[in-house]
Amino acid sequence: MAVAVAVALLVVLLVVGLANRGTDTDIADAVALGERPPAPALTLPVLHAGGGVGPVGRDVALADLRGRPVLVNVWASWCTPCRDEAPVLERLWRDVKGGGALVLGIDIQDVSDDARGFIREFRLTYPSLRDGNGSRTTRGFETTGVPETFLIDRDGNIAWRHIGPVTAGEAGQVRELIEGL
Amino acid sequence: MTRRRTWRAAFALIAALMLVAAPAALAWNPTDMYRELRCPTCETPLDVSNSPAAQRIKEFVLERWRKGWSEDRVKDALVADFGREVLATPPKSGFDLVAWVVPGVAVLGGLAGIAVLTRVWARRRRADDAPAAPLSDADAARLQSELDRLGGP
Repeated sequence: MAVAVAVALLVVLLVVGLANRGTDTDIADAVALGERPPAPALTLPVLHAGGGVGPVGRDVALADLRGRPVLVNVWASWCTPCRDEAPVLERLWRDVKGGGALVLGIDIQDVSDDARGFIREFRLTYPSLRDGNGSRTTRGFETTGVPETFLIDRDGNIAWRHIGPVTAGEAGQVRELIEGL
Repeated sequence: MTRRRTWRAAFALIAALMLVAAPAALAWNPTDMYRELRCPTCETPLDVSNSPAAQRIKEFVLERWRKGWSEDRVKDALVADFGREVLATPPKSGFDLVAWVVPGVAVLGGLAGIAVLTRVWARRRRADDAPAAPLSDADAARLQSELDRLGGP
């Protein structure tokens, strides 16, 4: 009887595991294969308004931004590479916003005053959302750390993923990718 | 005599100054709070985490402690920024109280169960050890006849 129960439990575990193992659970692999997995269904409050995203404190869903390419940058004020990257992203934002694209920061695992100080320090004008403990963003985008950047196409699918800071040398390529969507 | 009085006055003054000047924050200890907070990056208690986020939260706690913030105020500020997940232990109010009550109830229930089982087993054992009822005359006669048949005494 006990053996039968144990076997039944194992079968249930196997079925549940297989049922939850969708091909869309690995963003990195899918993007590397040229696929465009859907962006996670995130809804987060606005930390810094801009580009039509706001006002501060309002909940914004990534799905609401469909129809325009969105470069999502996951950042934190304590992240040293994010300091190098912020001016690059600000320049990129100024370059692409005329074409309707959006650069959107998501601040995670940060003291809110620090995050606002970071935005002031680098005079960032692109909007940022805030995910206090970061769990929704890190799970949703399957991030490995900060900074990480994702390009979401007009249909809400992830077209490109980048681990680490977007450097000045890479900004041109990113701009081409955005303009190609 | 005058010197002793001067010393006493100085001591009293210093003690009074310490009482007035000591911030309310000294009633709690930041390192104790580190154990009660969870690093949002590595999800371990803050005191065993060296991630940049954990370091920053430690600094945040220390800065507020120095400013004389109360323990609750610091925790409230952290919960506002990082959510309740930043607390390594759930608050002792509302639904989270269940997390504190259930283990105690489970232990008490277990102890009560052990007590009941012990009594039941002891009663059963006493019943087993009780002397057997004397045989009726008919049973005694039957037993004797069986023993005689088997060649017993």
